[in-house]
Amino acid sequence: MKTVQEINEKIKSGTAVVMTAEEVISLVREQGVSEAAKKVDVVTTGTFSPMCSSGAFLNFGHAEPLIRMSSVSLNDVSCYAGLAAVDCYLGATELSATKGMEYGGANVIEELIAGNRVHLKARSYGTDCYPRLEIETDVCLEDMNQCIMFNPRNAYQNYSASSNTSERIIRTYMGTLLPRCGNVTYATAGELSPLLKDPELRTIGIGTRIFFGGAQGYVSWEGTQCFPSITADSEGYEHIGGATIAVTGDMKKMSTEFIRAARMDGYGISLFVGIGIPYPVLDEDMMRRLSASNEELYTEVYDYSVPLRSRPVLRERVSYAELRSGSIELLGKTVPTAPMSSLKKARDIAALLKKQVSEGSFLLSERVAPLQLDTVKKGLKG
Amino acid sequence: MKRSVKVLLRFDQSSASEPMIYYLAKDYDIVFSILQADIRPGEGGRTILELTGEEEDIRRGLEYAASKGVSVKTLTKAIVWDELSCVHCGTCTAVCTHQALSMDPETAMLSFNNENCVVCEMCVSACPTNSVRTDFA
Ligand code: SF4
Ligand code: SF4
Repeated sequence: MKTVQEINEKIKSGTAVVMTAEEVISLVREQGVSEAAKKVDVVTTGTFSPMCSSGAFLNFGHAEPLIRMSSVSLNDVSCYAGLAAVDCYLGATELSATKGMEYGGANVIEELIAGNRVHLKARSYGTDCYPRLEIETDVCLEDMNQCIMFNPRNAYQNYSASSNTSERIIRTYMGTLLPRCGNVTYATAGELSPLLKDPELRTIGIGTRIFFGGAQGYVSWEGTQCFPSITADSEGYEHIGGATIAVTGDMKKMSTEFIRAARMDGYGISLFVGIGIPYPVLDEDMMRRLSASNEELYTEVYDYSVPLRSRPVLRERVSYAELRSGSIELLGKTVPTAPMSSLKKARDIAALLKKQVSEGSFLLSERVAPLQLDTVKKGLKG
Repeated sequence: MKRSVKVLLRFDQSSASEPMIYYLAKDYDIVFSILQADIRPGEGGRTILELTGEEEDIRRGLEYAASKGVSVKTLTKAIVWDELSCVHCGTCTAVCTHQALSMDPETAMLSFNNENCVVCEMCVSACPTNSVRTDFA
């Protein structure tokens, strides 16, 4: 029905009709999928959640005399330096050697994006061409060369909700879970969540331009553990899940509005990442997916008191509308629910992206290649 | 930001003769309600006060009282929510069984109702951005 080029032409001429996923759900309720598919050109999505598999490649620039850094830390957070002389990778979940679980790579990332200076310590074994043995100085984003955020797994398509049947409080990456199913936590933006809106990954692929931490970034690959699936549960309801994306963006253009450190009590440090994807409304089928509402999007509830790959399912199907309502029925009782992912920020991102596309400052992109989807989930023996 | 705290002040012989409350009100702009008092001039005693004022003024006022030899104990620690650093993720609402912290279903923003708070401090460690803290801890 429409192509990405046609939609981009409309964006450039200022005539494209852009809506957020929430807005388009109301439109489809009133006017139906086929009318909405004709009217709307672009639908924007957003999510803002802790995403552990995140970090950044940093290049400090060369010092005088030259040093080939073999161990690097920033604010006492160790970085991976097994790269070229002044390159390193700062991982979000790496903990501080001095502050432990209170501070980590994500905090360093947040400080850098905020424009603050962080303390660099680097050591070297010294070579003929790189004689210097150590350096200690303060660095900030502006002083460095490239600062490329590269997150190998972000924007989980869907994620199971969690509860705890045990007798004790457990502190997990899904938040603090109270004993005897005292609460349920969930971590997706539901109907605004980017990859839930293109479950077959028709438009997402290598090179797809996205909103990433406040900047324009790109999908660089499929994410690690990317196993997209559309399955039916025992009552025939469709569950979407499992796709992830690896994303790349310029950290220097990011904002702490959309990238924040996350300290998960008893678990460690993670990074809140804000991601938004604008989708071209190519045809009615695309619009049907884009307008799927919280009532039609499901996840499961798992028991996190069992720390095994085969943790038990407590509820096979729960809709995001139920989760969002503040409580759900679980094992015969009403249990309060709490989000882990900021709906407020997801909305801010979808709205900002809508504005940028409408103004013509954010054009849609055609992917260079589709993501590789025939991967089989493997475990680790040992 | 304005807030209220309950404090127990213990006076000894010399500090009981200082016009402490007068100075706290005058110099630190703190509003009082006296919840309990048992002070004998020249002998000492104790009082429980509820202080309302700017956070910083209360802190400085209590420091001043302590410098005059008054022993200061904060009775009810209070939860302070930093709205500016909050990302409205909702993680804290998972542990707030008293509904002091709750998500507004319309705006999807966190709201804090101090009246429901029992200062269990569960939210303090649960918040990923350190946006809730206990005051006078
Ligand atoms: S957990 Fe912290 S950041 Fe999240 S909503 Fe509560 S106060 Fe705000
Ligand atoms: S201290 Fe306890 S009751 Fe008060 S807001 Fe925090 S979790 Fe809720």
